[in-house]
Amino acid sequence: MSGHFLGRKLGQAAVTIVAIVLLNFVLFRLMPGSPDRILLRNPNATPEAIAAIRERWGLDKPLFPDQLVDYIAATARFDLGDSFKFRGQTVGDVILDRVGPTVLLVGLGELISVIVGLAIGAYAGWKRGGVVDRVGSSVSLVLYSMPYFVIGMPLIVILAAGLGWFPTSGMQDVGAETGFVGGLVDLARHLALPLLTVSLGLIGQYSILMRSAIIETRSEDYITTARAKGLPDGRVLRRHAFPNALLPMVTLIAINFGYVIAGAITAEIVFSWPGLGTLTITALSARDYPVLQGIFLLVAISVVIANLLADLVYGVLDPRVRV
Amino acid sequence: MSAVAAGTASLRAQRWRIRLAGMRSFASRYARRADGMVGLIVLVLFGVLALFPELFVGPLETATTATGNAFDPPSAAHVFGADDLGRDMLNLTVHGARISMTIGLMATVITLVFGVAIGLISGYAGGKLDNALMRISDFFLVLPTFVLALILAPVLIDIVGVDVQILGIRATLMVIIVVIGITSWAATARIIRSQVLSLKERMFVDRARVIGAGPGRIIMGHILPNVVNLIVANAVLTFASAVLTETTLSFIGLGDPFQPSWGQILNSAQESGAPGLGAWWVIAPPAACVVLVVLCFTLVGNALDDLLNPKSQVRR
Amino acid sequence: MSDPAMSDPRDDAVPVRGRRQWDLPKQADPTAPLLEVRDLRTHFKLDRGWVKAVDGVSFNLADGEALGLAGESGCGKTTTALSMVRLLPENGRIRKGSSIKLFGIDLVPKTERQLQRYRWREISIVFQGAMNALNPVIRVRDQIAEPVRVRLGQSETSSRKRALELLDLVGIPSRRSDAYPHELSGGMRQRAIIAMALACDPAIVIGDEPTTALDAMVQAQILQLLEQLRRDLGLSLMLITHDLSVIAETCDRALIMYAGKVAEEGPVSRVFTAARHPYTQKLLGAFPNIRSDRRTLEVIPGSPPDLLNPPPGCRFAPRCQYVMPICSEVVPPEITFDDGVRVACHLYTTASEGAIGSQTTTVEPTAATAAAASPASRASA
Repeated sequence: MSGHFLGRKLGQAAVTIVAIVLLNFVLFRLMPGSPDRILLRNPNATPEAIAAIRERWGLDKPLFPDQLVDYIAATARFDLGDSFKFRGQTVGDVILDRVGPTVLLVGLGELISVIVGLAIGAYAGWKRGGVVDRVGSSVSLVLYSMPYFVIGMPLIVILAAGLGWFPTSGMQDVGAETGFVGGLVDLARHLALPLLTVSLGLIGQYSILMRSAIIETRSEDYITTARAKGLPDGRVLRRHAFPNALLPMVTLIAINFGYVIAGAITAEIVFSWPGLGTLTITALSARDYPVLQGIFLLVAISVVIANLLADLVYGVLDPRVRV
Repeated sequence: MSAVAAGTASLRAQRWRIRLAGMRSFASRYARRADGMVGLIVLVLFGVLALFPELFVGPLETATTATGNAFDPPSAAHVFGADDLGRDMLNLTVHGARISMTIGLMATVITLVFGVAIGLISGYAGGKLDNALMRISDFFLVLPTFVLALILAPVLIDIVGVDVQILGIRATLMVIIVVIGITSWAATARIIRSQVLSLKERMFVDRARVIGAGPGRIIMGHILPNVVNLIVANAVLTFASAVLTETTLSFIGLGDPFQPSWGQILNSAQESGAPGLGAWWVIAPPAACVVLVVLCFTLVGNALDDLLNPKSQVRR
Repeated sequence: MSDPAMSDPRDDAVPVRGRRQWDLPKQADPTAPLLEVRDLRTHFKLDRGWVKAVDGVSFNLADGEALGLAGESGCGKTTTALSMVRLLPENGRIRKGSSIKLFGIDLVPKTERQLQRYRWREISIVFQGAMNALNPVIRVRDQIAEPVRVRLGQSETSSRKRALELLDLVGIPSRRSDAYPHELSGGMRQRAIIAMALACDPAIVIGDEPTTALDAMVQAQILQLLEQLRRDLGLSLMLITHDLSVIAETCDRALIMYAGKVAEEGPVSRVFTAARHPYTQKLLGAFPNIRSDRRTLEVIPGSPPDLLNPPPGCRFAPRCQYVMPICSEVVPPEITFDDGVRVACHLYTTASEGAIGSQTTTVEPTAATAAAASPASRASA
């Protein structure tokens, strides 16, 4: 892979992140009424506390350049300020506490749905009009029309509240076994339904996208060549169609990453999964803007990184990009 | 009437005849799409519910006018049961249709106005302006717009204030509408722009330019009529995603309890602990409505896209 | 509908079947002709009916022979060739009554699975290499080795060795063997595609416009390569092109198609110098020079008929300058002359019954024939 390609992509990512930081700044300093109405809208704040916040953020200084420079410098140090809601904790601490469960949920969800969704979509598109295609496409379309929490709520009603197979909420039972294996089983029982929710939502999306990618690929000349070679149908699909259909998928999966996190947020709320989603709700109802800003920054940066990774993976998968 | 005017009039009449014939042939091609027709019929039913909810279930029930008891299961009196405040679920769900679909419609209009305008300008102007606009739209495409909406919405609500009404819609919902518009115009702009680029190169635009039409006239008179098809197909799909986004934002707690959309009803259900209690009737009606409406919009949108979008026609 | 009294396989055909490295298919009849196609009808299903893209085509291909298929685009020449191994779009069907006999084995009733045995090992295809016939994400060398390994069951090492030999054979230096398709020039890609077609030592190689979209110099090189390979390996070739000069240079026999039917077929020397079918004459007349642009073909007035509802009678009648009342009513039968040329035209049916075996330049349009023939003879020189 050439340095040029890599450099350009890194440059684009950096510009995007700077733009996001600026957006954050603008949103909370330049909006009418802000920052006093927004940044200082802390119901519990005493006059001294407000004075302290003003001092800390330099709100008494001119907006430009002082406040902007200070803000960028602080963000670069990952100093995102103090939480309103969680007294005495910095935004960084609050978020860091909650990142783990979300990464677990989103990571496993992506993994499962990429494998299952791409497989179903590829097969459905290859055997267009077949049984798998008809059933798979209808189910996918319905799943695609469901917000994640609409998938999650019936799961709780039926599998947790109704049949009692799974716990309805949380990540651990109170006073559960502390042994490693026991802990893991407990975690898996709690994780099962949120993970199923996220995976089902994503599988619907990925299989629809992969299906059309395969249908597009199927009409390419090199597929005719592969068929002319007398290769078994399965080999034509796996070796010739799939790798090519995968290329647009890499980009789509990355672009979609922001929506996955959004979906995971709602799934977490349904299952009270102690990740960033439930944190978002808490922060939202308390109007804990520093925390919300921090979450936005974190999600935005991870989406940018996901896109950067996708570009790199694309470069590895497609020899044409490497020149 | 002068001869010229008469000629123009008959020309106009003829153009209308051609257009009418075109619409008729389009309608008959659309009618052959079973999925599109099912979607259309269901949407018309929901449209009727949304227009006249009082006709079917009376005025919206509130905590004070509730007719049932907390978590009444479905019965003859309350076909869909009652929620934690004893409000009739059928009543809530039917009124939810009006609110959800109004928000969806207005958000779609805003998205299209921004998206189409920027797409037209960008595609027609080209050069630096195009470049700048497309950079901005790239930024919005990469940005996790939903999470942006999460911070944008409360900020705007705090600025506007909660107890304001605009056009009979409470400020909270207005904010949701604007936020959806701000965060979803970019995709529409991209689609329109690429179509304008290919149209721009065609002969008739050149001819119009030579005759001396200004850019405004070329865009409105020559390019816009040719992207209307694309806009219609895109609008329906945008509506589907607007309803989804609204539902999600309301579910997260950014909706308005005084004008409950389906997402808001699900939010109340979640907060009252209905899923854990097994009170499925509080969840099923609004959830089913959301899925049905989004699914049908997607079906109609896909059918329209196949018939109207020049790119998907080639693929067929 | 047609009862072709086909010309006998050429007497001087070299018996090359003995050179085969791999066994013949089990059901093969060693004495049968290489390829016999009878009344091939390949139709495509649309909402509005069947498009009769190929409608009653018959021809033979002998061992070591090169047959050129020519005609305007859409005349069914590619569909004819791809029907041999049934590489048709999903809506394509070979209708009942057609037969494609390879070594005497009829391929038409075979299932898709059974047919795979014949693809590439017996009949391979040199696709137009313009860009997409090669898979963009697989190394060229691996794409050549793939059929050797999968179809002939060779080991990884020996199939790779075979790929390198083949690349060498078509003149691609071994240091380029690691290349991906996009890293090769158009001419190199076409060579790689030829190497790939030779991988399993097939009995028949079909060239589907193998030189279209290449510049003149490269085009000449590729033709030379094909010619040389044919001599050295004793290939039987079916060459599809709308470039008549290519056929004149490389083929033994020419088959001119119009609207899904055979217009004229016979030895290149006869067809190109003394064209009998008015369409062939037009085709040759519209093609004044070997180096001219191919698009001059469109000089023939009018356009080919709609094959969804082809005209009754001769399909060329609406564009034919010698059109007679019978032409738009009766499908012209195929008449074989004793110089081995087969023609489907009413100009020859009237004089026909006796005319079989009579002299070739009897019929009226002599002047036109002579005028049309002269440039072609230049081309074949």
